[in-house]
Amino acid sequence: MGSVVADPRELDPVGAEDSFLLRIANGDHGAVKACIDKYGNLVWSIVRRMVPSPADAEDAVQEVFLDLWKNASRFEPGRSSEVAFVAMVTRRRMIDRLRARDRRPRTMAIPEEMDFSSDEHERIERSAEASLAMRALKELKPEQRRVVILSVVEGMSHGEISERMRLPLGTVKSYIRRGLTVVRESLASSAPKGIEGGGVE
Amino acid sequence: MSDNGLLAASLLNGSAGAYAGFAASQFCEKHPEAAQRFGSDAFSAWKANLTVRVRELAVAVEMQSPDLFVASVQWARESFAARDLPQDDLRASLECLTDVLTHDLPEHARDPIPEYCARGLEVFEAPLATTPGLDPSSQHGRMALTYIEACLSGDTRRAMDQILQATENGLDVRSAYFEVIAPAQREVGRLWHLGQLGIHEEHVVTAATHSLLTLLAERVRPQETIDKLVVGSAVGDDQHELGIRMIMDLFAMAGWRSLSLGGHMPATNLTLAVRGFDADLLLLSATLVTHLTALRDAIAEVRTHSPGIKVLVGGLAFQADPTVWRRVGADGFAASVSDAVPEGARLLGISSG
Repeated sequence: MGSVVADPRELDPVGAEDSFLLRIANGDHGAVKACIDKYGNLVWSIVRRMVPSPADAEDAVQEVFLDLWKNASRFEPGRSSEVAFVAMVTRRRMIDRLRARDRRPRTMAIPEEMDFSSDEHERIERSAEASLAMRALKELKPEQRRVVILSVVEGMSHGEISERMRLPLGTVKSYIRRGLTVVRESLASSAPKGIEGGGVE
Repeated sequence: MSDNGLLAASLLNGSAGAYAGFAASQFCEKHPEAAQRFGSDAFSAWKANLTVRVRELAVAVEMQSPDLFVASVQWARESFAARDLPQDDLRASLECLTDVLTHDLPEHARDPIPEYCARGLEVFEAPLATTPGLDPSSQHGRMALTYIEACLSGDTRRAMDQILQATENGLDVRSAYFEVIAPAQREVGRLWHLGQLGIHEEHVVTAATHSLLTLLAERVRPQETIDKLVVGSAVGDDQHELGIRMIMDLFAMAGWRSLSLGGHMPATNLTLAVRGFDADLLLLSATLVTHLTALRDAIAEVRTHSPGIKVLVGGLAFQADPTVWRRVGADGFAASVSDAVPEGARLLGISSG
């Protein structure tokens, strides 16, 4: 089973004026480092699940960012959240790498005709797993939910979450451990056969 | 400069390894015979080489100076030639990099790339011009060569004695700095770049020179006192501190109060030093083109806390384009070791240096 991705519009309420990708598309050079800082952990966490070697994973992360730079203007805040867009581009890059095997695929363009809201978007954001997981997440206290999302969706370390949320490290770890248990139990109890036994990464 | 130029530089810097990786991959596919010359992991070797090239290009674009990139390619070309590596390999790798950048950068960030890369490729149209070494027919050239030879034979005492003796016999200490020691250090750097000296040998000569400077500087009593303080340093990743030290000595000989902070100085500490010591003049050097952005950022940070400070810059990185010093936010530029004190005096309105 893949990772849980809740509704990114709820999780990451980034407006067009705050979007790093749109700022890059508009020529704002200051957004480049900020974008790497913001999404580096998320990209790394997705890549590492699919690329065992740390060295290869580092290369893959860098390649993901090339795709993001090239496709920054394709991001539409009204159709998806920025974090979902980054996650989608990351997964597409990983799939391309797996297909290419021995050769290194160059940067990819997101197809013009791709219906993000009903295709990839659906796959990433509205899968049965995601819906179930989101329902389970809503059972958590708001603060605990935020901690789990920062860890699972944004790939932040426990220390980073502790700093951002101004919570003791032990509390962060406890929230994540208990939060994931709640989500797992909820998924296990409500999932159809194909999902049963799956876990939240 | 245009926002797109700055964006291109930021993207190149932020993703240098990835663009280099694409270019290295293309190079190894298109030129398997050339790739083989670099052993079993040719891809990694070329990726590392091209990552440097991308970073150099980023600085050149940011500084709006194609000449900086030309100088970087020329430097790499000399290095290849010295190691008997084909020039065509380097040229082909640059062609692959050009192709990658003109296709894989976002469209609006590509504008400056073709011109800069074309200028870099033009380097290969001319015969390779190597930097000349020391002139053994001149007295000072011979002295510098003897100094290097003695150091490399392990006899640094003899190396230093030769120059100390010369100053006792009438050689002006400043002349020893300008005409013997600085050229000797440049020659050591040149021989290292050409692969004729190892890092350990370069360090032996440099360590001896530090000792020699201490002994020589003690011999000069300034004729006047100038109540101004100059602070000198190299910032960011630049660890080259000998040039800074020599210039600080020359300021002291001219009667200034001078402090050398050495190399590898974080901008924050540089700012603290300028404020804490209440410096009147800051001298910063940059050795490689890729050191220029850290130097520019350091100047900006210092100025936010010490807006009245005068800043003088110099070093090898500025030699390729004599206008770049203006774009790093400096007030003046010393083209050589001997120019530094007069230029510093001019910046502070002091009649004699």
